[in-house]
Amino acid sequence: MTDAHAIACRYFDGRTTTPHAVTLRVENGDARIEGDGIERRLPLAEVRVSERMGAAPRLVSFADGAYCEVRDHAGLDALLAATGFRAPMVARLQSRWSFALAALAGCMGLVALSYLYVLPWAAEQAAEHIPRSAMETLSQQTLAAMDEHLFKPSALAAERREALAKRFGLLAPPDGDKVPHAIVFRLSPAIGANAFALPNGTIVVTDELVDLTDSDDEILAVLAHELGHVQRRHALRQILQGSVVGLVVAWYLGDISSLAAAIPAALLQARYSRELEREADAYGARLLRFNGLSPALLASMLEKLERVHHPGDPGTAAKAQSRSDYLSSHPATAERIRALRESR
Amino acid sequence: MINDLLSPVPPPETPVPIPLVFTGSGSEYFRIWIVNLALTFITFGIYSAWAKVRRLQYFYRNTQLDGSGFDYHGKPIAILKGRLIAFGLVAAYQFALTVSPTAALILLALIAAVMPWLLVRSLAFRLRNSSWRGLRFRFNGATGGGYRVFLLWPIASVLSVGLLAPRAYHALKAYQHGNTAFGTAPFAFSASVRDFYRLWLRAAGLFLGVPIALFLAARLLIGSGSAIAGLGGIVLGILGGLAVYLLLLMAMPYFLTRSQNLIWNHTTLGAHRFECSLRFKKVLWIVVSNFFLTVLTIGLFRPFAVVRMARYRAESMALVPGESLDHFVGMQSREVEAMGEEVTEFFDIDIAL
Repeated sequence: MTDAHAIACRYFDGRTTTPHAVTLRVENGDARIEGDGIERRLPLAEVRVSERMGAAPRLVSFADGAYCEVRDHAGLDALLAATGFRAPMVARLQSRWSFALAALAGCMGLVALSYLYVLPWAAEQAAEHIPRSAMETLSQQTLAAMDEHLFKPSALAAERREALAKRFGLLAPPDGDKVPHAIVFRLSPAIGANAFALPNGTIVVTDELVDLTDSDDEILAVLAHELGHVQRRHALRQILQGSVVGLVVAWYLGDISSLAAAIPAALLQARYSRELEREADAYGARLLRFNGLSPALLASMLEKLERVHHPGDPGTAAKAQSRSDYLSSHPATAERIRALRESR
Repeated sequence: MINDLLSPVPPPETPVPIPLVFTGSGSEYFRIWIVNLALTFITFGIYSAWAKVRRLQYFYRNTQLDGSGFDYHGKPIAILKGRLIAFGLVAAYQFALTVSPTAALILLALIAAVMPWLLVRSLAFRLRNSSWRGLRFRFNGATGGGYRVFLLWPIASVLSVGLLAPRAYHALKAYQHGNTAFGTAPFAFSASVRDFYRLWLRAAGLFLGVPIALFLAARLLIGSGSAIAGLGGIVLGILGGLAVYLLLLMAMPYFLTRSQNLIWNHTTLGAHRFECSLRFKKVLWIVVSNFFLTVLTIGLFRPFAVVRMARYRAESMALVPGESLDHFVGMQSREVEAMGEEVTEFFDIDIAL
């Protein structure tokens, strides 16, 4: 070994903070330190070299806590190369932009993959395993809270309510067993014509929705869509995947601002609920067809709902809807209507 | 004679403050950060403990005093253990919540009972694994003191509706800084409780006083009956509302600046003392611009933001030497054994706060 690889550095003995100016070289497989009254020789196997961390000095340390502080990065690199030293894999990854960018792409890919496939799949699996009792409690609490703040008792005649529920109960399921459900009616000036499904199979229909149409078949169509939500456990899945998205976004952006975290979380959750709406439409359409009814019934009901919730020119309403596809939880209604009409 | 008195005579041997120097860069840390993130992802979070060691080493080694960097020696396994404990506690609490509120309450009390011990352990872990020029820092606070500052004072602070908060914070800092040593040299903390109350009062005056004054003035003007005064009152009221938001944004940087300056300017290490000269405007600028840049880059600016703040904080700190920095001495290993530090290896925990 030639002196070309002797590097000047500062030596600390690990017991005091006194610096010693020394030279470090490698001779016959030993690290050798000389200068300022210090004279040490150690086999390379007992010497550790810290990772390169930018401009920070690198540390060549010995088992007893003594070490050399090296600022001559090029000199140390040459010395290390001459001894056949190889930096740990992670250190090499961090040192190159190409690897960093690959890691960046990898992270983004993994996040996208988790969001699009892994999380919905996991939520579906988990929803299957949530005990009936938990869903019961959750649903009863939700309904009780809504009864208190949003709903009044239904003003529809009891016979009319029973007749609708009975007719719907007679529909034969397109696949598998009948989906257990219960239909309840409520008057709600606050939310208007609407229907939704709770995790335990309770389907809530507002009087306003029943009053929207003269055709009972159209009401059945809406119920069929809601039963799709029940059958595929959508409420639970949305709670599960939505809260995971919320947590991750809050973790990522949380130390910046909780407000900054709320908006992207809401956008990401909206995409999930659009997926679920499509699934429920598909189930509803199958249930209707299987019982000799047309999926177009659901389509015309959607049009009516669209008209009461977005009054004005039907053309502009449809346009506004499609523009807000990425913002709204229901897929552009025009598109859903088309899909239902075409599904024959 | 008079000339002698007037001529500026510098005191003999004014010690020259030695500033901390930060040599890290955003683009370097970005690469460490993104590789850490990717590896953490593909190992389902397990790598995060190793990632933390790399991150701390990057910041420690790039922070230099008198030509020598600091170093971090923590073992990832200890950090992983700490994270598993923290995760276990949270999971146990979530489970207890589903069982019954009473069970959750009991578990919460249990967590409160062990938390101070865990915090003292992780404080000791962090310091024992920090070094400068090969000498380790040390924490020798008693566990009892830990229970006082991590449990009793916070409870007292809540019960007193925050009136005792400055006192609680003072107790915490006195416990931390008064029980730390570098080698055989002890740190000491000399800020008084009164200093802390003064800081709180100034903050309260600024962050509560200004909006309250604006709202009161607005009410007076609106109540005066004159139309022009009423209009002025409404404008003042709106200004008061805006002031609340702006001040909320400014509260954290303000508190960080003032408390760091107060704490470090009253901390000594043997014959040496520290100077911390953070400026509020500068901290505010860094915090606000970091916030907007991080949002605009969907988080990719974060490593750069962290480096900016670390650089400013390091470079606002200086050590005023009372003697040469070359003569600190480490503890003899026999002394260390006598303190039982070897035994606590098993309890090495870092629960990252």
